[in-house]
Amino acid sequence: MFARIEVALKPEYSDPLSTPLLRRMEMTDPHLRKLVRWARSMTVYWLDVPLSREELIYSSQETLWDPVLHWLFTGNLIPSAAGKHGNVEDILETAPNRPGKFFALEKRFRLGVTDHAAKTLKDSFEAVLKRKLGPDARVATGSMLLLEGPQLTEDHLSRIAREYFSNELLESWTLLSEKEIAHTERFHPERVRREMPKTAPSRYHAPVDHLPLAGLTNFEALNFCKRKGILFAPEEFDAIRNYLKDAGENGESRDATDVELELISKVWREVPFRRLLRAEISPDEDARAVDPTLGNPLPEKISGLVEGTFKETLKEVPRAWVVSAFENGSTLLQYDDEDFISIEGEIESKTVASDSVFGTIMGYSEVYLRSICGARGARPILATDVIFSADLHGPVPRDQDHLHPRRVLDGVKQGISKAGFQLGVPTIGGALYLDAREGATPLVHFSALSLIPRTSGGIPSDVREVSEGDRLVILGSPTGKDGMIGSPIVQICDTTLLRSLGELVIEVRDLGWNRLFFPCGEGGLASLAAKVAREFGGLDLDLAGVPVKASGLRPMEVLGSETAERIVAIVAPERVEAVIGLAKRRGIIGAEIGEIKSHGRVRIFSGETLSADLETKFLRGHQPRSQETATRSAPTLPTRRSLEWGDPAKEGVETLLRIMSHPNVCSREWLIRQLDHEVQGASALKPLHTVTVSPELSHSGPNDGGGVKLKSSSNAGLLITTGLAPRAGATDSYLMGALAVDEAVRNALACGADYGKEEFLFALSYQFSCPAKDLEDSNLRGSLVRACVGASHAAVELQTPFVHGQQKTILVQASKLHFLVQAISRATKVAGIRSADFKTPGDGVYLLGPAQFSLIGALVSEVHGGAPEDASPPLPQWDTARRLYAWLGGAIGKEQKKLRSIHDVSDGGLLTAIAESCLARGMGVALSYPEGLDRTSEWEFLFGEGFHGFIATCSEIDAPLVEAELQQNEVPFIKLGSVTGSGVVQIRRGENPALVIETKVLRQAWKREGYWE
Amino acid sequence: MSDVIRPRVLVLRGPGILSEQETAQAFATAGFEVHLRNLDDLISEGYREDQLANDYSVLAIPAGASTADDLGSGKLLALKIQHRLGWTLSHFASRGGMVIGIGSGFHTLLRIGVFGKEISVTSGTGGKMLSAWVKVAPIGMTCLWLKGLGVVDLPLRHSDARIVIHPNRRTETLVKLSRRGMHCLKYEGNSVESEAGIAGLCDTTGRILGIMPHPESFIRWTAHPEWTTAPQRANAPGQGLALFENAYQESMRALQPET
Repeated sequence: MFARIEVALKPEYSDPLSTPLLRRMEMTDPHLRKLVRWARSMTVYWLDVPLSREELIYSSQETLWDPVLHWLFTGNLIPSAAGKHGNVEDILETAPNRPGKFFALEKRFRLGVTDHAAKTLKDSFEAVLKRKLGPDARVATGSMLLLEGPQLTEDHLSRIAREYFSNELLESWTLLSEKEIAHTERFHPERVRREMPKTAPSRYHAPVDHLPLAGLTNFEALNFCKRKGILFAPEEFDAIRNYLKDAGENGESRDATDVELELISKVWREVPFRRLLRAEISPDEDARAVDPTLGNPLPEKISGLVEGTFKETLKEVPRAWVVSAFENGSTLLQYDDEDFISIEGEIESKTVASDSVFGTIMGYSEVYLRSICGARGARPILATDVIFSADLHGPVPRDQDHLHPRRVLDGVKQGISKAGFQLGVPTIGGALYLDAREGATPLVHFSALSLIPRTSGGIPSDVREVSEGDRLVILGSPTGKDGMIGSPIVQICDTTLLRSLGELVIEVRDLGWNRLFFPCGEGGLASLAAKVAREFGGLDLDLAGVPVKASGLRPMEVLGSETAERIVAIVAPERVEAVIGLAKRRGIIGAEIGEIKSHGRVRIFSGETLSADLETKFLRGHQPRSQETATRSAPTLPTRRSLEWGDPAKEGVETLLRIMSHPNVCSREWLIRQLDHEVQGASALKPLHTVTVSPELSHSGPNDGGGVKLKSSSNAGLLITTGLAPRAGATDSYLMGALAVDEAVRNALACGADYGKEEFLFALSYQFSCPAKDLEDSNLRGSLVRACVGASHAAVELQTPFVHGQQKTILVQASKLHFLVQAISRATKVAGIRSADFKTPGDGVYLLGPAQFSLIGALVSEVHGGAPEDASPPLPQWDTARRLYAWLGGAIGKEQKKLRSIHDVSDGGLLTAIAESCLARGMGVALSYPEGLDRTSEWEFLFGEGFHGFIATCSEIDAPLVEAELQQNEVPFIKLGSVTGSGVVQIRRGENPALVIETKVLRQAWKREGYWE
Repeated sequence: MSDVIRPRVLVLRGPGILSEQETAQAFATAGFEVHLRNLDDLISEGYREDQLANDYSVLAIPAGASTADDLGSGKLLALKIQHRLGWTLSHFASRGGMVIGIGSGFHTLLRIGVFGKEISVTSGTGGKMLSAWVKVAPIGMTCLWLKGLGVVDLPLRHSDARIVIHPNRRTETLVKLSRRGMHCLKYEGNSVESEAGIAGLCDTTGRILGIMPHPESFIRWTAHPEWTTAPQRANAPGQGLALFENAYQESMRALQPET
């Protein structure tokens, strides 16, 4: 039976689709928003189900109708479920202007896009009817946006549809006139039948295409690959040609199959980075040069970008708690006697460019997928997201067919919010960095930490062993054309299935049924096959066994399909049935698809046909190693004479207000409150410190990181913090790398991390990304190399090794290197975790650290249009830093426990850090300048940024003990003054107040209300 | 000690349920023997209501995002409990059982109709997720889960936290809820615009509780957003634990042979 059902929220309830849509329109296109006088949405279902009319009415009422909330418009199927008019007029009559001019936009998923809500509705019908509907039942979902506005034209409506209502890559939309809205013809079974999504027809393809390499030029061969959506660099093609020239029977040349080319391309993915990661890099003299006070010069040769930098830190700072790093599977760190911690990361811009909501969900899901496959199976315990986005004030780049940056950023926020909520992982940290130089597509750097028992199911988790004959079992969603390069089909991740997959992984692991799990996300089965073969000596894979969504998929497509809801378990032959059976009980499809072999090859079959046969060592080891140069161009920085900066006593207040309301400093509460940082019930340090519970009364300020208390049986806490210094990149990317490391470490110490003893877990993870074209430019390549070396040198200086990292080329228009560092650390006692807020009037306020701040690369210089001519760059004092950090981290002394608050000095400098600490409780401070500062030094002192600075407080009673211990350990500090309850931030120069501002004014600037969505 | 009988709680897990681990931890901390069972396993086993009453003192429906909330939060879970398991929760309560539904677990109880057909839940924040701590105050003495509780701070995290009542039957429904002691927990402040500030409802026996904020996330004091002001209390229990301890006391009472 065919039916169309429209579900509308009654007018007294807020509409979750049209309300935010109108708000987004208001923020990005106020003129268009004014033309829409009223809007309301409905959910639409198209049904073709083998049910009687009575059964359909019953199951629709049970599943779709909540009489308190909804009206159903069904034509004549269930007229009693509508309002007094019995049709859409029930909704239209609530528009404030009658008779108005109404329109409707209706959208639905394009053919081939997975419709998860439709699946849920089918499951619900089956639950109500207590029977299966069968394979012929079809359900599709969509929505309708009703609009009223007499001046709305087709052009306006088209813009609303394209920019606010639908994503044309995933959805098709139609415009309905007022007459069509009122007419009931759309409920007619014949019309519904016509509108039901059709099954894609199977097309005949030769199952496997052969490419006669010997008879083709590189140009012809590359064109063949391009048509298939496979990308190679010319020298890579030469390598393939060389390999195959004697790979045939009797040592003759043989053809390549498209399956083999797909396999090679997925394994050799990320062509530009791959080259640089394997290259021997020779920086020229300028690129090697580093100010001796900043660090050591770069070596003459760097063997591989990661190998020669980040991995070196682990050799120089070996730690017993590193179980594995930069190796197959996850990085594993010993958390305590019972558990390991693993780290995963992902950088997403390409799918975000397609659809900001679904693309972001995909990125988040990819991290989740990799996380659950860590070691023998892991449970993700926290996530962080660092977002780089275009300036929200920038012009809308209409000519480039881009959405407004606000609209795209809102989609990213929705994506993180939905994915975090639906996967049950708390988002406890991250950053949002806005920059006019960013492209129209935001970039999201995801990270996740997971917990893994050291032994589960009687098997140690750090053992990666399989036996010849072990089987590969694919688990998760059936394979479609999702994720294929060139495919119009964009994957929408089924987070519910992914979460179920995560639970299944834990169940199988705890039963001891699996050897290992491998994610089947990025790179699909191709990447997985190569990884498995490289690690364990070879495998046979049969693509005919892979469950598929539709018939007609070619072996190459099955091999290359990517999705975040699919994994492969390696299990002993006798466990195959049990694993597939358990998966089936959890609603997950499973199938045996291959076998571990020791023949050193990847052999891929399509039933009886051998489609690919490549040596593992060729796939993973025979890529050409290139020689790369790295150069450095002199930075061109705007400068302003110091006199133009004026007197900080006169201009400091205005500067502080501008900094507090700067998009990269002001409150992120609008974002943080929409991300779940409480799920799993373990968060012990939240992204915000909050005073007075209840959102409408609360005041908050920023913390320096996030922390969780993972176990009831242990007092320990786990902390994750982020460091990034993009402004310093304009001066010197070496400095940027070093500052990012110092900030990540500083933030961890501010939060209460243990530091300073070899046994203390304190590890670093890097992520960097840039446009692929930048890697072709030796200056930009030089910047990247310097950033990596700067970060590695700083890591060695601070005795904190890198254990994990992620790099990716991205889609952006402008050249920009995104570089960030995260610190993963532990607090032996969760009671030692600290927040940044000033807590009690009378507490002493201290600057801890060498107090050598700089205006170069500081936010205040951006605000003032350039640094003073006489400003000098920030310089580290690593010896001092190690002493200070060791004291804060509890390795020396004991009085650090008496500190009541600590906040790191970063964006906006010391005065901004003090202001942020005052915000939540409305505290004030009475402080004095250190004596003898000249004008530039005063600006540097108040607003300068650099290495190793903290603002800390402790009680008057504890102050003598704390100060004595700092002196004893030669830790530099300055007592600046004290916290007051006056609600006024006051700084004196000698006897005279030099800078005075009320905290409530600072709070107003920081909140920047109305700026965000 | 091994001879001590501990009450048992069935904590549901399955597609769309997210908070089963912390819910299980909360019950375990309170003293329960915790059984985490997959809903689909219970369905395939044909696990009956009388078995539930014989085996368990408490049924917990943890929070989550039931099947990504496609049909409304908690809807598919409610349909499975009603139609596939055939459980009537009021029967379980009448046999001495206790039930708690938290967050979307509360939504599940609402969709089943445990608190009446006139009550539902929708978004009070324009569809946006809200993750914030709220103050909630118990009302009356009916709810056994909330016995002895004062005003407590609990985290709220959902886009649909606004309890609503059928507009045509609003007054009589509110009077009924109040008179029968079913309106047992209210928001102080009510930023989600819930009807009459409803943050929790119980059935007339006080044994079935639906609660919107998350007591299972406040078992340890270090979960509170202001705990760093008093680090000496870092190892103290959180205020949410009291609910689970109340259930433990009540369940133990039911398990003790009558004297």
